[in-house]
Amino acid sequence: MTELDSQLHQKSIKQIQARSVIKLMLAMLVLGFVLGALNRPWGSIPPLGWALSPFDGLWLRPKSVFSSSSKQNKILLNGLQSQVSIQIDSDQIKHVFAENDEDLYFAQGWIHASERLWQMEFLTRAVSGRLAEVMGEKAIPIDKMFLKLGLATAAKETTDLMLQDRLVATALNAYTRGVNAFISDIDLKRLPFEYKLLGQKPEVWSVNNAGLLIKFMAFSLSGSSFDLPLSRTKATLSKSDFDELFPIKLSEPEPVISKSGSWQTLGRAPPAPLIDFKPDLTAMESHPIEKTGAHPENGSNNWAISGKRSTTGMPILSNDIHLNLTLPSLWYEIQLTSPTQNVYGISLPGAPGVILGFNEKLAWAVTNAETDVLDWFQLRFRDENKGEYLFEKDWRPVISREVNIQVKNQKSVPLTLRQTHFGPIVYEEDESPISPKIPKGLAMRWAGLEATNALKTFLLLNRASTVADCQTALENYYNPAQNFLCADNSNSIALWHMGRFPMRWQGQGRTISDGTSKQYEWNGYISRSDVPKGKNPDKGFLSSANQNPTDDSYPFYLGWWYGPPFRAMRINEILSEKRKFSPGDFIKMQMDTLSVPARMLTPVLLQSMESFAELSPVEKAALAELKKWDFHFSENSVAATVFHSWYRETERNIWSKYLPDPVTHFYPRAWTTIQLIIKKPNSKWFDDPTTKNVREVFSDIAKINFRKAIQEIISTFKTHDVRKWTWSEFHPNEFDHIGKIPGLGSGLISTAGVDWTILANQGKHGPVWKQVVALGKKPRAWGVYPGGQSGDPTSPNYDNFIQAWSSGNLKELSFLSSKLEQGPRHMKSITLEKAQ
Amino acid sequence: MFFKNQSQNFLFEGFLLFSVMLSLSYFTSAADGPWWILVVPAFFYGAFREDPKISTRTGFLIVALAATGAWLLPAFYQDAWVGFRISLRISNVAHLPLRIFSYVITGFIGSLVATLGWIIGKNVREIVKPYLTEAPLRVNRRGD
Repeated sequence: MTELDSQLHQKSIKQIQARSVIKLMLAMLVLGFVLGALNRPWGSIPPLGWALSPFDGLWLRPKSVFSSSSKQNKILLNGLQSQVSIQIDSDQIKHVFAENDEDLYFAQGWIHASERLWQMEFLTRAVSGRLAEVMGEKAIPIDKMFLKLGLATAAKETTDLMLQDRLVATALNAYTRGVNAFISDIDLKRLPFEYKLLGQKPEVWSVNNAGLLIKFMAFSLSGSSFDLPLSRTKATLSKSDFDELFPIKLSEPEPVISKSGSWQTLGRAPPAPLIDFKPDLTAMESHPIEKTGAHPENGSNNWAISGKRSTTGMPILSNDIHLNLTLPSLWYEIQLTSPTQNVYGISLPGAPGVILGFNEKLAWAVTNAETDVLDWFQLRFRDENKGEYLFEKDWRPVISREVNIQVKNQKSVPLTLRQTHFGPIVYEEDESPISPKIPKGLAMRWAGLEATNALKTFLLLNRASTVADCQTALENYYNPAQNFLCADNSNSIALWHMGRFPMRWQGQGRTISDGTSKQYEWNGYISRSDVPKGKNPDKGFLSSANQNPTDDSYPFYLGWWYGPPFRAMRINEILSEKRKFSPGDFIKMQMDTLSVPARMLTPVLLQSMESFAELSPVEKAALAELKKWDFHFSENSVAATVFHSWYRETERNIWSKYLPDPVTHFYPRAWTTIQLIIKKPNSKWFDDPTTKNVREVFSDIAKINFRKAIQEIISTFKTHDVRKWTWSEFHPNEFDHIGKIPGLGSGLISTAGVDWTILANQGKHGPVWKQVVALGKKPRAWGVYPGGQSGDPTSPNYDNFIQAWSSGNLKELSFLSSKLEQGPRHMKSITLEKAQ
Repeated sequence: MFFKNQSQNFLFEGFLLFSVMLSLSYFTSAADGPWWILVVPAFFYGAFREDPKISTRTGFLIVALAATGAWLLPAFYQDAWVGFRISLRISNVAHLPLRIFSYVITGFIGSLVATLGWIIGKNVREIVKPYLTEAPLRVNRRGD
């Protein structure tokens, strides 16, 4: 090679090197940028590089010792006293056999944590106002609401009270140790999906968390209040109109307990004040905010028949409880056995014991009592500092406390909590409540904030043998008030409308109360012996469906907002048939879709339409469907779609003439509306005040509303083919994720029923546990809940029960007598043993 | 290399690289190491594997496919075990139209970091090679 060649070669190498250096630097820059971008969270999106790594992130699932593929059959745990055996079914139901109660609850805590840890932590965070710590700023309004409601403080007081009780303290402490035994051993690479998505790690479980969960249930079931919308309605209508549409005593059929005057009590409600308080509503303008918080229709059905009405000769009990439909389900199915108890049913992850279910001798069921135990008080402040408020003739101080809401990736947000002797001032006048039903600037008195030992009731029910034991267990039960139904294998059935009910004058607390007057305070509580109850009635059955608990003769005031009577009417109609019932009859009855309002109103509607000549082909076809309808809201029913739309349109049309907005004002109860239509079709309420020379009657507006309803259905289905207007397509169910994380719920589920039928499916609300128990020498039971035992959204056991639930296929529950017995779905056994 | 057919050799090479990436990722993860460990074998492949028969495009493809496979295979295995529910949930949460996109994005991230590592390795080789491989020049001053 010549020197020139050499020089050229060197130059060429240098050029290549220079280009390579540039490419190298560029590549390193890009790699640095890519790694930086993939290693940090973007808002609610976790670091993508880690999240999608199949060795670390979302692809890596929790390992479960409960799965059939796991070879691990013995688990050593610190905290156990002796061995615990767990039989596991193919659908992941755990049958737990322990040699003492402490180990039993320890094992239950460990199992709950294994399957539902994120759910447990999420709910307790929500109630204690700590969601924004893990979910960011979007959770701040929810945290604010719960902190202002004062649930965290109430939960602590409740836990402190429960820990004074030996039975409850043993259970709670053992349960807590069990949960923490799981957490201490957890593989952080295999956390549940939600933890990874949110970049969260499990916290140590506190014994106080059980109190938080009890307050969560209290809020869900008794945290609704309609004082503000009803106050607006009262201010809008004349006194006579208001009294006509909103009577204090609901004269509705089929109350839970009807005594027709023979109440064995000398007590009476105190007298009402002579002057009716008119609250100042000017500061509480309406908000077009979506409703949140406790679902006003959280309720249920329960019924039981005595042995003389059953094919088995022993009582049969049925319960289906209605709450928000979520995945995972709020409930966890389990059997718990120790020397003191053998109980099966649904448990609440986060708390020990079985909440609803049965044991060898007794079954119990609940429906929400819907009693009004939440009142709002308008305060008169001394000055604009609002540091003192007038009560009678005294100026009382408002106690203020500052807290901070911790927010993920941001500075904490300060919050002032203000307290009066009634309770907290939940929202100040310059704040925006998360729900339009929560008034601003008012103090709240709510029975749900009182310390209670509700857990003791359920722990005693787990061990109870007779209806008398049931009554003893209920002595500890205050809130949320429930209609407790018990049946035992001594052939007794009994029902109690049980809770702690404030002693108030008739109608007190329906609207906003005067916070300056002691006449509006609660005068103690109704005596426990005076609560409505019934036992072994001649008719041979007892039932409840959230309706009015008593008839007009009951001497005390319990409230005014109850579920409509339609489900109760249908239940009692069936149970009043002159025949005996089998468990299969009750399973079928839980799926009953006959609508009493539809049966009452459809003939009226059809009659109204007879004179309506100018019907379009689609309207004629819709009417033809109604004419042949059997009033069942079945999946394929077209008439159900037509009727439902027509009724909703009619209800809105009638009341919107007088009351501007169903969210900000309270519309009359459905029973009131329906009675007006049937009994007073010429009532003034059907008249349109804007048409001066015309006095409309019901049949006039029925036609108009029918036409509007048809138009609404067409715009929903985008077709004039009425055959496609099936009820299940119009009104499907849907399950949200329990933490409202998009993508982790279900899709739309086709179902039958509506909130007024026994099968009470209503969008994102419906039966979350169904059970039928036939008592006898050994009980037989059937049950299902919509969801699955696993809280892991990627598990086959996350939502595997939904199909059976939607079809009403309750499985026979394997109630084992000993750890040596194996049920028909037995899959494997594991033991928990004391670590040396 | 081992096969007469060049394509077979490339495939085998890719398989070896895939195996290294898979094993290294698995053991690194067990030791709480970084998720992007794929960069390392890709870097070394770029730095030390020189074969005139392997064009830049072929080399890029070998690395990209090896890395994609190293991530997709364990993802698929875990997903198949639960009836492909993991990919479904990832696609739901990420608002992807089909669950296959969960795999697409996963594979893309793995191959992206690996190919960047390979590019870096390749360019390091280009810079350093002249100092390591070049024989001293013999200069004929008479121009022969």
